[in-house]
Amino acid sequence: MYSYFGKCLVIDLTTQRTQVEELSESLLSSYLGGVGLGTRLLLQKSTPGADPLSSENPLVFASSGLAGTMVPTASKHAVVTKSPLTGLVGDSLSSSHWSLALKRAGYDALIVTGMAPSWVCLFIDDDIVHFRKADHLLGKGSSQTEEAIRREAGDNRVRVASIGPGGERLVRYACISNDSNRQAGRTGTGAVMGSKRLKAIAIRGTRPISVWDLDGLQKVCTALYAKAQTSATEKYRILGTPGNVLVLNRLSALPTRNFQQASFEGAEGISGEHLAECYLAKVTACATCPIACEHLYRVKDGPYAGLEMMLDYESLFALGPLCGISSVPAILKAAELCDFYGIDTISTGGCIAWAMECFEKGLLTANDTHGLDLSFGNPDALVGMVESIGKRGGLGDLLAEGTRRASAQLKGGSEHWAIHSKGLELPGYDPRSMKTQALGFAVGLRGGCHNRSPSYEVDMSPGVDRLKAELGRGLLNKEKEDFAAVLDSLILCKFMRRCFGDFFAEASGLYTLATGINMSPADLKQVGERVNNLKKAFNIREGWTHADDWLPPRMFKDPIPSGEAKGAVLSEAELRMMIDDYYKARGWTAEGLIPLTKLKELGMEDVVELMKGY
Amino acid sequence: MECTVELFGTLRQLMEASEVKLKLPPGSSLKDVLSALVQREARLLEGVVDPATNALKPPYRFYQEGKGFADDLSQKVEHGARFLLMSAAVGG
Repeated sequence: MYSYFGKCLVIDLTTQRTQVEELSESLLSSYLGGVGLGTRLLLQKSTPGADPLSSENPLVFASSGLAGTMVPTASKHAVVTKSPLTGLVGDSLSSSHWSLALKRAGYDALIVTGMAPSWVCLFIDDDIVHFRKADHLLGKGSSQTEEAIRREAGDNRVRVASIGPGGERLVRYACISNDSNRQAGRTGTGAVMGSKRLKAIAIRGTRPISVWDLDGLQKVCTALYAKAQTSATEKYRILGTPGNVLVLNRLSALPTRNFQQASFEGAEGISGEHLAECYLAKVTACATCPIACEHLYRVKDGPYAGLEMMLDYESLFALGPLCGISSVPAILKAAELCDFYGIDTISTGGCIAWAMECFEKGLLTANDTHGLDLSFGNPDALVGMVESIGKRGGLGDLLAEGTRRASAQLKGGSEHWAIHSKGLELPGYDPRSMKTQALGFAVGLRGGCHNRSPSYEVDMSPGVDRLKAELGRGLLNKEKEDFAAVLDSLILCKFMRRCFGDFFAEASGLYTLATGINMSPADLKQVGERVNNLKKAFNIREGWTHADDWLPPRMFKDPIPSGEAKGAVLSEAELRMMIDDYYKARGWTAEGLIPLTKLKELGMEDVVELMKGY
Repeated sequence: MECTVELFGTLRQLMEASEVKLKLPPGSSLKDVLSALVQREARLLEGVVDPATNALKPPYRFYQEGKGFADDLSQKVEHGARFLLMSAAVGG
């Protein structure tokens, strides 16, 4: 095989046994890698109905099929497991040197099963797997953990993925960090790792990766590297994703104060434009990325003087406007603490914003917050609550459960403003002023997500009325989801998408040049549909129902109060109509179930076997 | 006839302004708005406006306040209209 190794390393933490399993060319070409391959292995290896935080829930790391080649931005991996936040498929991407190390160790995937009797660190040294005690690493953040492991190994080439104290304490949206500042951020993969008492996975991978047509691949990649320096990626390179703030603010799509507003009076002061002028220290990139979207900001004065932190739009929105915070230093400090504790910034911000609204409405009082004024806009409250969540202390223990569970426990009508879909806190796009995205959030297979259902692109297209729900949006959302699934399985960074002309023609050619596996544009397109049907199949097996495809009450009851989309609201009838339209576009039943004929049409007979009885 | 163009992101840096007011002859189109912007700042031709077609390069787009994203540069501009000129590349 070229580009792939055709191997999956399975590590059982309970027995401390390891096994290498073959991955066939047919399986790899059907699911590519990343989210596709990871979900396929999860479906096969997991016990139906298992508690996500039990030993029966495997944690799958699936490499990009193109990782380790010269293909730009392919140094990525997916983490796939049953999410402790949603109870459904949880998949999350990360990137950079750990992704390369996994591949260079000779594996296309790593599956961790069971539960260690005491805290361990895995050290994968190509063929050899060491189980090492990790008690001395407990309480450390990812950077400190990485540093300690490298020091012990005496080798800076060792790459480390680890959980922070939040993952150790099973915060349901804990993430897995690698290379100090990259995270598989969403859906709580870090809590699953914590439940297995697995603090870190260190890898030293030294194998070369061969490609099928080196000259051909080099030619195509040279053109892609050049395209990645044009207007196609300019916004990401110059301002980074914080450049979204003012645009979304102006369109009434910037969720503010827990989605009570959709524009923020402090937007200018936290905008990408302002950050670039007043805080920018450095621009960096993941391994093999020519775009370099990561912007490192430095605080020059005040209580957080000297703090240096990277920030992207989603972290900025969630820890900023969503909590009514306009203090850049406080946002950067909160993001730094999220990284230290290893918790997802979007869910963290969503949970704190929910609590702030509870506080302002009197459901939570100073007694619950140990005297902290949890009003929107209080930077000390933001920073203090991130600490509490990471430590699961006081109110933080409730918020560590996510807004769905927290609101079910607190009650008092707080479910109205628990802003999640399927338990996953919504990202930074207001669905009332982006109605195709509203559909995407409602039907999202890992919960409400702009990365898996990137239908904001539909709403920001000419000829589409973003404030209107209409027939046809179902197909448009399906196409966006399938495209995203291809990118997440190849894996290529989504910021490369505009560097392609005819994406499916060019990317399928790229895949063939790297792997030697024939892949037509139509084949590649079908992979996207296959992967999303696979994720849906897993969800159905784990108890998904029609009622799960929905949005929080606020989206139907509370119109956007001001700005360009003043008065915009979603009606239940509109969303139902779009969901029905989406199911139809997918070829699913009116209840959103997958007919067997659809699975067979997609060549998923193996999945039919795995789904027997469900 | 007057109209206003609000600028975002790198466009704001390039033109060193958050918005520009333009005076145009009656009957002007969105394409004329773009030409007027290029007259003010020729560097727009480097990455924002395609010199061969005088159209916006993707992912740059006009959004008209109260109306939505514009795809037709031949559309006539009304007096007092307010446009947002932005990169529609979001995500992240």
